[in-house]
Amino acid sequence: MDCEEARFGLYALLDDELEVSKNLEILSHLEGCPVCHRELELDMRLKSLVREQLVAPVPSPELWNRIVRRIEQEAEVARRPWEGFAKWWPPARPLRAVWGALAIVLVLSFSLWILHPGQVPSPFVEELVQEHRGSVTRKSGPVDLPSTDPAEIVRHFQAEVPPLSPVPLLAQEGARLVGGSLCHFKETKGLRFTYEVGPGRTVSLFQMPRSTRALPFWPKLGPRYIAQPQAPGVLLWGDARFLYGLVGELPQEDLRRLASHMKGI
Amino acid sequence: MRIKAKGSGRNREFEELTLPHLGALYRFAVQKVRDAAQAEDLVQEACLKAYRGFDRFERGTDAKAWLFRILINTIVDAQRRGSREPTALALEIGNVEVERSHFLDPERQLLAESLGQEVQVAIEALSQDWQAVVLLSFVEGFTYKEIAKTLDCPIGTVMSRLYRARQALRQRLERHLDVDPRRATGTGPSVTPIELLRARRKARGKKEG
Repeated sequence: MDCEEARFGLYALLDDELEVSKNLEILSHLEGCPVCHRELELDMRLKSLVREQLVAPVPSPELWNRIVRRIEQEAEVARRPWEGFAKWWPPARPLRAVWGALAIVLVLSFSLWILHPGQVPSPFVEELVQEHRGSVTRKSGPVDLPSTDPAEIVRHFQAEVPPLSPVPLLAQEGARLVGGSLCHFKETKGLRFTYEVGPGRTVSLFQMPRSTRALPFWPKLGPRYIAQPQAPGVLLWGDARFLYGLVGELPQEDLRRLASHMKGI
Repeated sequence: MRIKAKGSGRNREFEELTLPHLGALYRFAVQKVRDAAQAEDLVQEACLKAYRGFDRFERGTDAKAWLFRILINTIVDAQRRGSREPTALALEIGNVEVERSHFLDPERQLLAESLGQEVQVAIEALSQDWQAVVLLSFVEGFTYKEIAKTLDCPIGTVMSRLYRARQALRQRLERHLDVDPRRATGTGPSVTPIELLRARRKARGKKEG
């Protein structure tokens, strides 16, 4: 073993980190080499000098007790979270807390708006009822375009109302299509299909695009029956693109049965 | 004082593993931040972190290394938070760590009147990484493997840092090293360094045998 190799292992030897065989090799070299031996002496002296001279401070006897108290406090807060809340409330920076609270309220409102199935605004329901009643009492007849073919009605009004696809059809025995009309609501236009369901009795099937703020946002709606005191019953339902309304002087079950037989939706 | 929080078995185990190292943790923290009160706060924070993460501690592994690793991370975080303090910086240029002694105030060096202070100043002049290996090895008696685990680096890096730190310390403390080695080792006049190492090797051989 030469000096370079011995020097390399010197520190490891000093720190007791060498294998026994390597240890012996270096020790035998050191015995015959005064230069490396001197190096070893200096390194040993350095290590003990640092050990001896560095002040060894002792922690205060209270340190462990403080640690234990903090651990217990934390465990207590975890067990009773409201105490943690009480600690930071009222906040040191009230303005920040106000903004935080506002943000929470906004997020909650938006979530409720998105998730809630949505209430159909009553003025809109009233409009449907009035439109149905108007068609019944109209002198010129209940429909603008008499036809038994719903596709023809859709084609006829396609310049006014976006093409409806699929074309709605109440396919039930006893319900006969008599024609269709264009309807103007406050915020949208739609189509009304009029069906005869008995002698002198008609129901109106409304179909209108959902591109209006007056209609609920929720994409899947209903079917929902809206009872109208002293007025025809209204059954509403919808999909992502259209809202449907069935209005007629029929009991709720009959309206629901008619709607459940609707084809092409 | 015993921890009375829920989970008495876990608490007792935590106490048994932590309490014996509290002094060493504190000693290390004081050396690193040079402030007794701050060192206590750091040790306290580290112990809390250790308690919170005690379930992740692999039983049977070295608790001392684990606790020191948490403490060192806590110190680094604290120094980062108050990184305005220049003394906390480890300066690195590329891969070469630069000794802070180049940047020490000369007045401060003059102030190191006593030997103890001089050693202290010499240690402080080392970069943070070198300081850590010196303190862990010289003062706390960690093995290279334990240091590597604590500092999360390879053993080769530990050895190289220790080598360079020793060279730097030797340069700064040169005049205090040049004395009779027998006196220096504190082993009395009849034992030379080689005899000491041989005795140690023998004892180790017996233990392993």
